[in-house]
Amino acid sequence: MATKIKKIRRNVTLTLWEQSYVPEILRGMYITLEHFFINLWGLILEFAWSGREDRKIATVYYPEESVTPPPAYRGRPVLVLGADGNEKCVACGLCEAACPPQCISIIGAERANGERYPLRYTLDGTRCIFCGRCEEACPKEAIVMSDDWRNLCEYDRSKMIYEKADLLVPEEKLAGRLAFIRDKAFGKDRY
Amino acid sequence: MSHHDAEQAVAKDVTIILDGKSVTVPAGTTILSTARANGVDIPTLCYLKKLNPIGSCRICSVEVEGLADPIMSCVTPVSEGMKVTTQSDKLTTYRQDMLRFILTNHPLDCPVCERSGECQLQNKTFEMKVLSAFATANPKKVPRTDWSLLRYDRNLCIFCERCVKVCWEVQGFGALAIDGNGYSAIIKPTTGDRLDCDFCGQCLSVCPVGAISSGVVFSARSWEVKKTQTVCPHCAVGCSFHVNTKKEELVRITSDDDIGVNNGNLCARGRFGFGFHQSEDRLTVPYLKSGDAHTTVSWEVAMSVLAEKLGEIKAKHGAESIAVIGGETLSNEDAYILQKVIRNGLGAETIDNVSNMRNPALCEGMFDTFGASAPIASFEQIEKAGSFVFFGCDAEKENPVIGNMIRPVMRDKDTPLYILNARNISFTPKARIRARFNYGAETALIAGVIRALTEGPGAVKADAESVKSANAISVESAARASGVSADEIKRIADGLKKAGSPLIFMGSEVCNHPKGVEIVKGLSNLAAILGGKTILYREYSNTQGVNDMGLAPGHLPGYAKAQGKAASGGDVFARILEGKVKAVVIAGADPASSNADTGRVAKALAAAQFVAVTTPFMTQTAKLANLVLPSATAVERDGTFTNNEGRVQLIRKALSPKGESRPDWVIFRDLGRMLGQEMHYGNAWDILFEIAGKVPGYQGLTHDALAKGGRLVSYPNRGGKTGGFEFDVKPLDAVGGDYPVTAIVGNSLFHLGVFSVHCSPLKDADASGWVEIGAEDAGALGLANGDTAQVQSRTGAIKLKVKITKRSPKGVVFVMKNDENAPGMSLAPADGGAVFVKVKKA
Repeated sequence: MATKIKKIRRNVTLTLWEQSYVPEILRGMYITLEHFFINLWGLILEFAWSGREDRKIATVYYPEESVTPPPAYRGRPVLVLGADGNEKCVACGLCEAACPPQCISIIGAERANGERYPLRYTLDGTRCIFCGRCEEACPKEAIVMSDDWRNLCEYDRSKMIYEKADLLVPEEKLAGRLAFIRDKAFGKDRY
Repeated sequence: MSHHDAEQAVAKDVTIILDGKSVTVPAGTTILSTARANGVDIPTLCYLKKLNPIGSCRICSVEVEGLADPIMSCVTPVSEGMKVTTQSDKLTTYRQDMLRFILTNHPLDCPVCERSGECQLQNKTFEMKVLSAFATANPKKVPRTDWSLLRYDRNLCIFCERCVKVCWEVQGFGALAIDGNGYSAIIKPTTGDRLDCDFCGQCLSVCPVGAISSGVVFSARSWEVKKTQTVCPHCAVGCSFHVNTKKEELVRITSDDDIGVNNGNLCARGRFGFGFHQSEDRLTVPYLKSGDAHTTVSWEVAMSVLAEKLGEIKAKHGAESIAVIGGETLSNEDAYILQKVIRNGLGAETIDNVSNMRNPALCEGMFDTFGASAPIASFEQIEKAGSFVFFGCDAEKENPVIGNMIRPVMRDKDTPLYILNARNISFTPKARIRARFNYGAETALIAGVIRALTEGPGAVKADAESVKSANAISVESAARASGVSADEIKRIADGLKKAGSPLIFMGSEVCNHPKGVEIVKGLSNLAAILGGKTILYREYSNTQGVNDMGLAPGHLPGYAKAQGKAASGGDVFARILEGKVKAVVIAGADPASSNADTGRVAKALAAAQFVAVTTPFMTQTAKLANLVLPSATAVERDGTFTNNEGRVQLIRKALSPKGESRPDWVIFRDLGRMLGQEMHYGNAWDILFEIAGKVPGYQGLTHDALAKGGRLVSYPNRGGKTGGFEFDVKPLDAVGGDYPVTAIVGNSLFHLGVFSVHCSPLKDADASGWVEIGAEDAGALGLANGDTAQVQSRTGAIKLKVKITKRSPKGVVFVMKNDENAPGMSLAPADGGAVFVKVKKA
């Protein structure tokens, strides 16, 4: 990005026109009004602008419209469902040990081929603090922080206790986050 | 002078220079032991104190001046003037390299390995800062082998040989061996493709890595479990172990080499018999019988029914119409409160426990002669004994951990063992002499041995009283009666004489013998003549304790005679059938399947007006009871148990009681309060405090004192006599015509009492009841291994699976006691006599 060098006038004597502050007031009013009209038209013409690159306002019409958080976003922790249809989790319990509010509990079991898997994987959504320690501890990239921030609230606490079936998300849907943790967050260059 | 003494006599002290410091130790000590004794730490991996040094890992190597290369300190004995360096840069590199060799083939499966977190290879790698490997080899993956309760993963195995050694040296089984060498080495069962062993899990406990795993620990990792030290709820050895719990769930049992009497050893029952604590079959609420069915009721209702019914029956029929039967898995606190409430609150004196009812004469006789319910010798005697005698006991099956205590002593000191039994009982290492006698002629045999000891050339000097009874019989007639040849008797006597101070173990065969008292007296004489000791096996975890706590007819706590009231012992069930006893309170016992003549017990319980039972399970007894109160198991309560050697040990609460179940002492405390007694006990330690103040022998016990390995009870010794008893040498009468076979009813290796049948691994190991029969008898009856046989006595008939073994001689069968559907005790006559049966194909 090219740097713009700004010339600063020091120890200048203001002219009478400048001393009246009229131009500065007008300039300020212009900026304010500019934003006022962008927001006004932006809100009214929302549907026309929706999804456009040159869209200028931040506010979105939720729930008709919603934002996609960036990969660094830590939403609801989910279990990665591999391409073979099995969860990647091996029930090692490191997330359970790393979890500060102790919201994870795992009961492991073994498949016929000797691989371990979680028979039950319970994540207590009422306790989770979205810190991402589980993801960091996981040696298998089996639990990741998804971009899912919807439906985290319920009227009934019992509905917030997620079982394995509620937590499983196919690997391809989590590609962004997986790439992010591999390359950026916990990549080798980070250590 | 024994072999060991001879060695000691020539042993001299040796002085070595250890890290520049001069230290003196007895000759023959290894460098490692010398260092450990002097507070110098040498890292080890394969070394285990209870085993002979193995020397497979080379981690413990040290430098000795004059030698070019480091040598292993665990196997090298010290020699005079040796200069040893235990820490140096060269050694650090050497040890790291040795570890790298091990790690070359070790997969880094730590996240999924059962041992992770308590793995000694992991710890050593971390401790010795081994961060890189020379190379990684990728030998072909060997599939994991399933050994029933255990699993073996060759890929994780580091071939330290601990499992092989512990199985041979401590367990005496030798079920494992290394097959092949180098990359193709693998540990294989010696019992064929399937591991068919005692399933003690010793190999599991000593494996430093995850090569041998239990396969039951998926739900918890080692760092997640909370370990609570407590005492095994099964047999009377009183092994200490750690109950591993995770979030109110019992996940496994582990033990450490430095806690308790067991030196880290456990048997199958102890290590795998924990499923019952959290079994689905546990009772969680009280049940009241209305009509024919049991309905659930609240504790308030249940307790008021209990108090009202007992009060009502006492008012109508008097205090002598109420009887109490205590189980042997009650803690001392439970037993103390129970007898206190019943004696003081209801004024009833018909108090008994199951072991006493099985053989009332034995307990009474022991009390009169020894001042306790059994002759007690501490396990420390095992170290001191000149020889071991197993008399009517099967150490390998009954109390496997006693076998584990004996084996290292036999290994190190070459202590001779003599096995005298009515069956062909084996033990590893081999006994010097294994003599099989005719059941019923025990006292004759003992008298024969005493005679052989005290007459002829080289006779032992003995007090006249100890020999008096034996003089009624000659060695030759003892030989005729017992079936052991006169030569054999003389050789046994010679051997015992040479070794001196025998430690005589008496097993359940003696406990249940009609002439049990006479046998104990005779063996006490024999021990006294040779300066030895005797130990009588008790069956359950607190058999000793409930007797001590006065849960026996006529004895107050501490064996004080009950005064004033009619101390009425005798057969409770007979008195129910006579109509003299109307109400029975049964605490933690299942007499309907464990008492002699179970059919009669069931009839009596059905006939009683009111039967209340506290039990964790719906046992046969509970099914017949009017009121069933769910009680907590041993890991769900605090308290103390008194073991075989009279050691009081703490049991600690590791879990909350399942459902609404309560510890027995809480139930009886509340009953006491309802009966108007002052019961100020807030917790079990309040009761222990009262026991420590009031019960002779238990004085001065405190929770803190017991926390450090327990304490031995000081039993009052009547007249200070340990020998010189009169005993009856006459053999039992010959077998009756219709029932020609003698049956010995006992516990199997995997089952004991009502608990073990609710543990799935034990249940799988011994699924149904069986009868052991000799090949000759089986042949005559046309029975083959695995057939079903009908075993019938005068009192009952049961169907059992046939096991043909060498253990049973002609005319003797062994019947497993603990099948729910075929209780072995249904064969036993109510009068405590010998069990005679007939066997036929079913």
